[in-house]
Amino acid sequence: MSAAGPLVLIVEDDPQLRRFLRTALGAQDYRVIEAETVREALIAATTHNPELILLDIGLPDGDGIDLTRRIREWSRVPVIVISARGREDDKVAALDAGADDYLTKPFGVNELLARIRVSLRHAAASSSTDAPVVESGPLRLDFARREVRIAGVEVRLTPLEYRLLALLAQNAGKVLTHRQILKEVWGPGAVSETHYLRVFMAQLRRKIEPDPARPRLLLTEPGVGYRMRES
Amino acid sequence: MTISGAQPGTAALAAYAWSTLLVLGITASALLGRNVFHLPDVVMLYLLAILVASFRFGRGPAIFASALCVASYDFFFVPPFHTFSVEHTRHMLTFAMMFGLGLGVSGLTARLRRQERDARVREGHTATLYALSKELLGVPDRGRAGDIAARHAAAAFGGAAAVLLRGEDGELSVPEPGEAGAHLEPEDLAVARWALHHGRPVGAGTGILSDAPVTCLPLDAGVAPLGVLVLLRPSAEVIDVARRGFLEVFARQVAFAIERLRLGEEARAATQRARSEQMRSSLLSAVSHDLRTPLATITGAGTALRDERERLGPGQREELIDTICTEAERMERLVGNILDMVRIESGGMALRRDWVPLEEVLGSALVRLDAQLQGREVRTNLTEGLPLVPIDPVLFEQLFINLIDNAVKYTPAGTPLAIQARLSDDILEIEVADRGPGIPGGQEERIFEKFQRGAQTGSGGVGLGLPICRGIVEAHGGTILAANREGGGAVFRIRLPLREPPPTTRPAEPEEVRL
Repeated sequence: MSAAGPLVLIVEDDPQLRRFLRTALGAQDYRVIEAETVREALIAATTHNPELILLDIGLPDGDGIDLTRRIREWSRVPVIVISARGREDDKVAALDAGADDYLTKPFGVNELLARIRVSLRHAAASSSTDAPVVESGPLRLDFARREVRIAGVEVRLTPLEYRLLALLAQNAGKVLTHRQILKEVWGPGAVSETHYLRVFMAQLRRKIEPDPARPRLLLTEPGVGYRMRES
Repeated sequence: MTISGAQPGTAALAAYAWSTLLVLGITASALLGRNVFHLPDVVMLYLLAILVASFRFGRGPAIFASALCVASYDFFFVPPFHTFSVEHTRHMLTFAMMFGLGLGVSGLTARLRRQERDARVREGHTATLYALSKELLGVPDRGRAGDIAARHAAAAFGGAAAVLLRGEDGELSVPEPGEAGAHLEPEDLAVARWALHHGRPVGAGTGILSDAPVTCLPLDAGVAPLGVLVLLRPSAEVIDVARRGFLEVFARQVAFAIERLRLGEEARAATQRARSEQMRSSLLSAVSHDLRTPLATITGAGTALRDERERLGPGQREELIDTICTEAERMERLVGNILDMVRIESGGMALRRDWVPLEEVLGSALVRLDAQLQGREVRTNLTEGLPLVPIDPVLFEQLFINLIDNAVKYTPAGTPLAIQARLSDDILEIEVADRGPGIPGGQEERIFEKFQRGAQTGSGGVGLGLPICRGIVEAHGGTILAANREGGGAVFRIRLPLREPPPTTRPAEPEEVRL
């Protein structure tokens, strides 16, 4: 393990899954520290100051959602939660508690590394200025000129559609919950009006997706929210 | 309905007053007509008064009237006049007969009256029991039966009533304070528990704990008491001996109804148990076969890579690694399906309905199936302006994934799929159609049964995909059917009634702003 890359804290009670994560991350030059319980995780997070935390939601001495909330009291370190299929509520709760993204067990190594890269990039970006232009596939969004182009052709959007697209683009690659999007675009009073969001998302897809029936840019995370595909 | 005991003071007093007035009236008219009437006529007039008093005013006033008649007759009409002394002993005989007649007739009419009253009461009881049994017949569960019985009991016996049922633990289950029905104090409950455990009526009017403000009857249908009928502050006559019999018949009828419902519930539970038992055993066999197969491959390939590394060429290693990944994915699908099925079967599938455009759910299913759909044309045709539909988006995505995956498995590579949805008369109709070999005749229903696999096995399914689809659709209150298409292929049709209109979304912004 060369001691060069970012430091990742793995919070996972299953030894085999921990071994896989350690090996996969080590091969990519990440430095790894491990914790098996909420208590150990809190100690490791405060003493080692990791640059990213991979956190299994189900831990023997407590739940990861609560741990996320406690970490968020004093740190902006990216947290990626690991959860099982069918536990969408847990994922939403963890994301709303401040987690940056999630992985659904079982997951492949590509997905793991992609999520980590996106989270680290966003953590770095939020401390500097935001990118002036976001590109993903045929989409090009120029924030300074408030201009949206698909394959070079300009697309006209309503202000709400633009705000929705801009929010997803700023967080490209990262999942955003319905609640987070509604709060940002419609305001805190609308956080439970998910049907507004769904209707506008459908409109937006019809304008920017080459095939709105099979969206390639604005992906649905069923039961959780939306994610813009990374370039 | 009954005079005795109801308001003893005033009513009886009035009867005595009327009797007195009657005798005075007769006496006055006899005195007025004394020049016309002979003595026997006067006697007849007094007998008439006694008869009237007997029929109208009951036994006591009638006897009182008889005595009054004898006295008046003696005083005014039997010489020497205006004294109570009598000259001839034959007059004494008249007195005796007059009084005796009064006694006899009033006794007779009183008995008639009582019989009539009893008949009316019995008629009332029969009507009460009839109404009770009629209403209890259509009741779905024991709780409702108890409520109905309590309502009828309150109407029939006065005051308030409650039916407490024996719970699983053998104790009375006590309604929450906020619930409908009579409010019971802890002391009342203690009396009710006594009745349950001893299987005997207890409380006011029963001879045991007679000071209690309640009367409790065990609901006994022959085995063990199923609960207790509690009467709070019943009207006084309920407790009298004549009505105790009726009260017991009432309680028994309620007990029989509750016992019938209990047996029904038990039978249903037994069927459910048997079904889940069957489910468990099929699940076990599915798990043991369908999970072990990929597991065997993974174990084999994994150990080969670990133990035979040197003897394997790079191509062979590649092959084994691919096998492991493919088989692991297959296992993941199986486990997911089995878990979904168990959730549906156990009734633990809580719907998280939301107003969703169908397009979004179908879109994410198609994206998830990208790999399987390579090289196939998928035509989607969702009617423009389809409203938002109230569905669980996660489950509906699973539904589309299973249906499309099923179509992919059982149709030749490269054949097209078509998915369409439209709204007709508040029913959302969704069709997933293929151009494969279609469904073998007569199998249209069977394919929705668990562990039924199509002819092309080895495609990695356990035969749970379609049963899960049906479970999801039915949980939403819809139906799913399979049929063969005109021109070849199979079609799966989902019909989902939309009961409430979709919520209004904020009006889309009118101006298209150039950004």
